Amino acid sequence: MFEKSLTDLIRGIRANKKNEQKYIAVCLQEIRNEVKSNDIDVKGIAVAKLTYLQMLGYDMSWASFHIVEVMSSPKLLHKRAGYLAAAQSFQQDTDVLMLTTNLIKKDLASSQPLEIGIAVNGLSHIVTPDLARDLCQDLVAMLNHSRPYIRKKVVLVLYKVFLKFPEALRVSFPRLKEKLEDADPSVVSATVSVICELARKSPRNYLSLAPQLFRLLTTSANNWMLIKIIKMFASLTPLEPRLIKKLLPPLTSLIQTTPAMSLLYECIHTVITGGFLEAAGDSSHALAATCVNKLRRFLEDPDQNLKYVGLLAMSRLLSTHPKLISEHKDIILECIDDDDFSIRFRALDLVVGMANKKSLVDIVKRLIAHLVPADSNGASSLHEASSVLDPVYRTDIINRIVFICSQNQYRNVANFEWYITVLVGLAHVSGVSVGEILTNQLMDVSVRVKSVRPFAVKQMFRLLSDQQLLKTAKKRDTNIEVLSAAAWICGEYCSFLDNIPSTLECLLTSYVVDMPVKVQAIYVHNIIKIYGFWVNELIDEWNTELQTEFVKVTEVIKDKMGMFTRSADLEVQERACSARAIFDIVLESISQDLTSEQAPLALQGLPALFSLYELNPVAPKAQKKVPVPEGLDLDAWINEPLPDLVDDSESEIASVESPSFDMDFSTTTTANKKKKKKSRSRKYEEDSEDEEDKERRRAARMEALRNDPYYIMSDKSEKQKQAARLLDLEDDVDSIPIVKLSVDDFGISADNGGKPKKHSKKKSKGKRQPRAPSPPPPEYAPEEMPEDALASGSDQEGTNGIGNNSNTKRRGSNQTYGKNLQRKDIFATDDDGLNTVDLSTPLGADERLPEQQTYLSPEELRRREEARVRVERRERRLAQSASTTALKNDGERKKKKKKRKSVDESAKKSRKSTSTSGTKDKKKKKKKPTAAVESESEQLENGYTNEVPDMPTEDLLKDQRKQILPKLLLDNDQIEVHYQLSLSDEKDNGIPVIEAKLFIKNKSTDATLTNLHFTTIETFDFRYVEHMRHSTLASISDTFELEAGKDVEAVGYFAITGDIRRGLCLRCDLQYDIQDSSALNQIALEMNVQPSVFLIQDQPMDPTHFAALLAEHGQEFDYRDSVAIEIPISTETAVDQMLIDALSTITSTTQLQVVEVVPGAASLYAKSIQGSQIAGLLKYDLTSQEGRATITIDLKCTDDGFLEAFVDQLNSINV
Amino acid sequence: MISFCLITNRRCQTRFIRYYDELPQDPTAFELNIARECIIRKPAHALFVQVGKYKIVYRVYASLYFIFGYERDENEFAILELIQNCVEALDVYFEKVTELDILCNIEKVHMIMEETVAKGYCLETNQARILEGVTAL
Repeated sequence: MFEKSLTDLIRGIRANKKNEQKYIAVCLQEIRNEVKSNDIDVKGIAVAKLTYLQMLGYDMSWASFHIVEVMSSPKLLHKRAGYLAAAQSFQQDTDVLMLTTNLIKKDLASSQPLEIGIAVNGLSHIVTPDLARDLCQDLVAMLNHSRPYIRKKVVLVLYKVFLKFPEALRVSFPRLKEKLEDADPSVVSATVSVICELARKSPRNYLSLAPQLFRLLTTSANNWMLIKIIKMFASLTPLEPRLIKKLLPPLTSLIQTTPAMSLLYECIHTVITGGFLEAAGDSSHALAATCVNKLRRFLEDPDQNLKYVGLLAMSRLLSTHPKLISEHKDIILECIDDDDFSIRFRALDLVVGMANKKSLVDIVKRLIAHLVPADSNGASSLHEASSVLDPVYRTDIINRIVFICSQNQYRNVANFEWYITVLVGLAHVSGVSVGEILTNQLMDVSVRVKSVRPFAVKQMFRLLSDQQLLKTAKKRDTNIEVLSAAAWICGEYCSFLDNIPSTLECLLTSYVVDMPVKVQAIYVHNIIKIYGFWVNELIDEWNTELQTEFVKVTEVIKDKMGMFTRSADLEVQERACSARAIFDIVLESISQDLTSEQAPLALQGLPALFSLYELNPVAPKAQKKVPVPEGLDLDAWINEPLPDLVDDSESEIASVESPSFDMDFSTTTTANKKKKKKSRSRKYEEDSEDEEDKERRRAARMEALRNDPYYIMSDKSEKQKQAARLLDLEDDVDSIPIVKLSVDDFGISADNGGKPKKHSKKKSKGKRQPRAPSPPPPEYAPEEMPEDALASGSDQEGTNGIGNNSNTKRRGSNQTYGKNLQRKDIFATDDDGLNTVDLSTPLGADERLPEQQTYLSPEELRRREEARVRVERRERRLAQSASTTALKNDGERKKKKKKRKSVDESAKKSRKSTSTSGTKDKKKKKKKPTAAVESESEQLENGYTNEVPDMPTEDLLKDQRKQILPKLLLDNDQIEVHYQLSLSDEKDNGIPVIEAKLFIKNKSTDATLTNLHFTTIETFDFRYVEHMRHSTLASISDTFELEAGKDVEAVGYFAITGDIRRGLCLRCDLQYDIQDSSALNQIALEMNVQPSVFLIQDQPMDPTHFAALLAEHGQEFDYRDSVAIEIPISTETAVDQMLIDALSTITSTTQLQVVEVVPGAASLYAKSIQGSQIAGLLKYDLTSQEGRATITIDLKCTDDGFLEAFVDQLNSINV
Repeated sequence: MISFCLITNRRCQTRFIRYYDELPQDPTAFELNIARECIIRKPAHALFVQVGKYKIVYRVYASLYFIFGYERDENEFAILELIQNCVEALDVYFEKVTELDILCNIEKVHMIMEETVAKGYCLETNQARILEGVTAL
């Protein structure tokens, strides 16, 4: 009565803005008391209030039990509040969830749809593996609920159930599939959502749904659903490239017509990511161009949202169609300067992949503009101050610049002097900490590119003497580390130094002590290096004057070295001390003979300490060339792998492959590899694709080779080759880089005036470009190989392998950018049980949803017990009646014996003879009814020789294995297909196998059918056995080419994995192309499998055994049915002959064996390959109708489904 | 699949939150962070933004921000339309929806959102059918 309602609480909170915390604390205390109340209303409101407070960030986990109480409230309002609270606050490990199983079960069974809706909704949030297991059966049953409102919710909750309890997916998938055909559009839409999500995880399982989805795609107008369907197809097409052909027309028309941007974008996106462009063949380029043009319209649109997705889609297209994208460079570069960071980053992703030799300089210039603070003259007013000052953003930009330039082994950099200038400029950017990456780059470039070294040394000297940079040494975010590269380069290539003493002076500046110790250590070392080189130079022109000067300088250096020796860092200290010791030795040796015209001996040894040999980069193939030591087997397992790990290896390899450094080609190759593994039937396509791929890769390698600093061999002949290659390069107009130097961006003038500029020779062919000075081709440093290198393979090999240390490092640090450009891997596997669910194999008989283990009420127990007893009683009765029938039969036969008029086996010839042979005798003789020789003496009784016709005799018994004629499967203008099914003698892993023989005939008179092939569809009942082949005939998995009028026979084997039941059929798709016609011919074929196919023929049943079988196992023949077949009686043929014919038709089509023929009746028997047995009694009745005879067959069978199928087949017999 | 759905005002106060995936470590801080990222954006900016692992699609209605987050595999435009759809449904139900409506009738909002977006999937796009379930109660 006096409790606050939720609205009161909200009002209260608003009224107490000043001391909200306090107010809520009071309320919480109230709620704590209220939830314990016995009044469910109070409790419910308390929980609702608590849910509100939870949204504001207050804990409510303590109230779990009370929430469950409220959930069980009969009032809908409270139930809602309870379920909502549960959804918001329960975690997977909330222990009270165990208590909810029965509650939810009860709510699901409620008669009120709203209540069910609440329960289903709530369940989706709180479902745990246990709940999923216990409730999945109820939920699956609810898929057929009469209200669409419930159905759609159940479909969605099932997805959550599958996630928690993957086993349920396999069993309930057929039911879920049915929902695609639901009458209600929102149920269909929900089903599509769920299947789309499932297919994303393991697309292979859902290929069979493609026709249904395709129909929805072409008929539905629900954009939301269409988007999902298209998304789903995008994940299916990599597995089934033929789908692409089919999908292209609807997608293209959607692209051209749809007014919905979302759908348009999705179509384009799918065309790009689903591999449509690769598969579209000739029209591929046009299609890509259409897409790109649409995307350009997106980019030009003032709507920022369109711009965003346009860029997003373009970045997907980048990996396959870089050229098309670079056509729109102008507009993309504009987006880099966009105000909006979302757009800017998308554009940057694109730009990084777009850069090539021509555009590199321009792009880098634009990126650098983002780093420079806005000028006062308003040129950069576009940039917000915040964006320029944001260090994270600037670090990102710098990383991108370095990435663009260094990717693919500096392929895009034509002028390394320019690059050095850029790097030096980047070092001056304040407020960021990118020293390490710049250091690596500077060192890497100057080691690899010989020709750039003089320039690099000059620039490095500038850096060393740059007071501004030195002053930043004490700051937190600084690029001071770059000085270590500067020092090292000056030291290593000191021969290019203009002024050695002043360099040394720079290295000994007092700022050094503020630098990182790493830099200091490098400083110390390089001081000695430079000093050593200097000494070497002086030795030649040694004189007394020089000596005084020399001593002076040395003393200064030694003096300054003192500041390093006091360093706290051990490395610096040690190096400094040994340096000082060297200087001591030098000074001492000079002081010993002051007057000498010769340099002291100690000095002459000094250069040898450092410059014995040149430092070269390691060749990328070097690692490969190291010979394998003898006796080392690299292929042998060290530890035997666990068996299941081996199975997974395929996907692992695939995932390892994808983050490859070579962006342009890696994605396509991996995709191909995957496809190849997945499908054998498409092999022929793959081969050609592979060829193309190889070709492309080869071309790319050649291109890479030209510019690749890693590709120079250390031996002389290689050098010559290299020179020749460079000469070639000059002749090759296209490859001459035309780059304008734009180094003044930083206010640093590039000092390359001394370099002779070579002009490119233009061929008259093609567009003439204005002549531009081109930088000299860079000269690369020779690369080193291991001494015992193996004889080299071709140069082509191992282009992608990068063996160099510094390179690998860079690769690591930049991988993030590479990733952005990778095509999205739809095979990406989550750690999810769902992936392992295999929907392709049929359901076994023992696969059921788990029964819920709940305790039964006593009434229920009693009811079950009664039911059990009833069944037992019935079985006993059946057994009794079976044995009495057997006895009766026996008795009848004995009676008939009296007026025994046995018929000879040649009854047809009407030669009757009396026989005295007894019943026993007769039975014995029938043991081998198929043997014609023995049948000679076979006799049958016939009580009504004259009135009633004889039953057919021996020919029926022996000639049951009549070949069934091939049935017509398909007949159209071009093609005619017949099929014939039989049980194969072989088995596949113990599973019986059906042999399907197909007779294919090209009916047309002139057209050749090419590329004709069958795709077998795996169903729950049959699985195509790939490895079994007919000894002489072709297999149906082959591809055929049929000339006009020709025919061919093909055989396929299918393992029977399901139960025999009515309406079984083998499914396959037939595809063929007609020569000179582009029409796609795809026809779904269904071969009906009659139960007779499964019957075993080789064991004839003799009547004694038959009787015994029925007597002993009669109760197993639990299922009964009867069939009546009417036979028209004409006056022309004798009645008996007609009955004989009828019986023979029945037995030959059904393959039933005639066990015994008695007057007016015959007993039949058969056994299936799966062990089901069927027994029948055939009787005929001539009297019921004028001009007609009726044959009734009573059947008993051990298997329900089998019987049903059999009856079905019998009913279809046309006599 | 949509990961969460958040309604917040200009002061970054959460008015409605529903997670369809697992809860983040600290929901309040997470919501605040997401809201901030959206609120600093200008009206002329795109309505998509990436925050951490989530791709965010948001829409502004007067003082309210409707923010939907997902990790992958959603169509940006479809979500924009979905937001519009939700807002229209709320608008019809509350007859010109205001922040106060959402604040005071949080349960109703939950119901309407449940009918529109269930378990992170777009469930129903027909407004009449969305409100059918809610008004029936």
